[in-house]
Amino acid sequence: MKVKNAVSYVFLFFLIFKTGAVLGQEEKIFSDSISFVNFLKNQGEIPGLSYRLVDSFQVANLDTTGLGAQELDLQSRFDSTLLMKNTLLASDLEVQYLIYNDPYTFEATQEYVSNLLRNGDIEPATTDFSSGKDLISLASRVRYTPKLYGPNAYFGDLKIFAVSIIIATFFIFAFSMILFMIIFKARRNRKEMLLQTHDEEVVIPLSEILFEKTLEEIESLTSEELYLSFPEKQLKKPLYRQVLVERILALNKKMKGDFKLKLKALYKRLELDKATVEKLNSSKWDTVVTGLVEVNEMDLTETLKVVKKLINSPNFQIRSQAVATLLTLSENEDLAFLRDQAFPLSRWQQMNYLRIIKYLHSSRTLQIENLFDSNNQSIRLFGYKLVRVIGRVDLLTILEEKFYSVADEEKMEIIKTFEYLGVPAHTELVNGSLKSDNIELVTMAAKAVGVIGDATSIKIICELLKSEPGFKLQMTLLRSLQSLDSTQYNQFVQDNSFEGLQRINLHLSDPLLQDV
Amino acid sequence: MILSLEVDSPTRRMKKILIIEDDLLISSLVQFRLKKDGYATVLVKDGNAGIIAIDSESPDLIITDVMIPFKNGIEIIHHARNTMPNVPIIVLSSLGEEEKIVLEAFNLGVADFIPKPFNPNELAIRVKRILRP
Repeated sequence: MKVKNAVSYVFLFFLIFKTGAVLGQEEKIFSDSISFVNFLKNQGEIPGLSYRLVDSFQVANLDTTGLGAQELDLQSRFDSTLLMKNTLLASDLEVQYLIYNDPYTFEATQEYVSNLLRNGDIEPATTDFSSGKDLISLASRVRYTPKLYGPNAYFGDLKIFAVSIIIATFFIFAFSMILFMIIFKARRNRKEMLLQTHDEEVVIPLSEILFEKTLEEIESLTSEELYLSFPEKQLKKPLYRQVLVERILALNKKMKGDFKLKLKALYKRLELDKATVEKLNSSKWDTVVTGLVEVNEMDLTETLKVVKKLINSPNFQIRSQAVATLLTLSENEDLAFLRDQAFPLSRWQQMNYLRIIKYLHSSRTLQIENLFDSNNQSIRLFGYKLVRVIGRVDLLTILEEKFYSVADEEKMEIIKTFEYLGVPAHTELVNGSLKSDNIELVTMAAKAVGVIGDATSIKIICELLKSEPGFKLQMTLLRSLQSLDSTQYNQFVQDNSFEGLQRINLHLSDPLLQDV
Repeated sequence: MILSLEVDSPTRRMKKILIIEDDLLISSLVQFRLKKDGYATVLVKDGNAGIIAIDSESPDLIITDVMIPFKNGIEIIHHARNTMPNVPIIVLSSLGEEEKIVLEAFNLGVADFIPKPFNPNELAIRVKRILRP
């Protein structure tokens, strides 16, 4: 019950508070009837409100229908109604107020006009009706009209200006992007279309020249004869020349016999080699590489001087392609140019060069030994690998001399070469390596002695095994011992019983696991 | 899509050769060479068009690449063998070193296998030999 009462009190409190707020809003516009009359005098016409003079008796007994009243004409202005009353000098005449032609009392009319003012339906003509309120409350009744018009209003408001700038920037950016894409796509489409057109244009002339002219005839073609097949105007267009280069290169890859020679001769007669040289001097690495590929494919040996300048390029692709081109085309160059390379050779480069050198070494003097003196370790390692892969047994003596002055990594590569070539004459360096502190070098040497070892190697292996090295080295040593002398191996297995020995022996003795 | 078709002569029936090759330059060169030798040629650039051309053109010889779009050369040979068992086929491919493909092609009864790079004159001689009456 108490709770119910409390809720009621709270409700009443808010009701009063709210009512106060509502009343506060509906404050009186006219403090008294005089100020209202003054307002009507000053205001002139008020929408919906009209006046007329009637007999005071009838006003007193107001008939809302107005029927039967002795009336004068309706007046729209209060001041003129008063003037008329004064003019008539009739004391029994009263002003009757009509709202939309219906007669109302003075109070009702005052309320009607007050509502019009509150709602802002009329503007006070003067400030004479002032009821003594402060300016702020009066100003709140005046409708807002911007002080600044036009551009001034726009630039005067910083926030609107900033938002407008952002929106404008967005639209400019978006339209620029769309425009850029349209232009880019149009250009690309146009280029593709032109490429296709040029492609079709060059097929027939190329076919005719290749099938109908001999190599000598192509070499002796005059410019005028060439222009009959490939118009001079077209040849001046870079895109047409690009298509020609690409087509000739593509055909060169897919054709064989005298067609290759004809294509190369035609390439030079069309002076496409000049464009290739220009590409070699380009600042763009991809253009330079394209130029190098063209030199390689078209055997442009006269450009090798330019190519040689590129072999030490800081760009990986350029120097790889330059070395490959020089190796392929140069009849006089040995590998001295590769020795002077400052950059390390990657495995990919080594594989690429090896493929070319394997193909060339039988017909060219490459001087592989030059690589052993390089200041670049990767080049020296590549040299040792070349000896192994090409099978240059004659260079093993030089490798043996180098062995004692090089790092362990190179020693391992040299030992691998000795093992691969299976030359048992150079066992000292392998046996010496078995005593090294570098476990990787010892393992490599242990593997090699299985192929090129001797009696001394067996003794060293047995000593090493007794020192119980790691499992991997143990297994390599036992495998090499088995391969060198199976009797000694069996004897060693019988005489010793350290951990893992029997397991390794079982593994090595199992024919199924020989290669595992 | 048939790229080009040489119409038969009204007086003498020319031997018709179907060339299925996606490289426009190679196919155009081969076509040019065969035209010089007096053959009618039909040029298509993919496997689907090749199969349609086999059915619609009834060629006297088919020259096909192995690596072509949509259907490979081996599928073309299968189709040709099923529909026209007596039409000779020459396989022209850069997969010459792929023994499996060469063997499969020969097992299907192709007349010849020419690895790329090739000499168009050599191809023309082989075509002449195969189509000799």
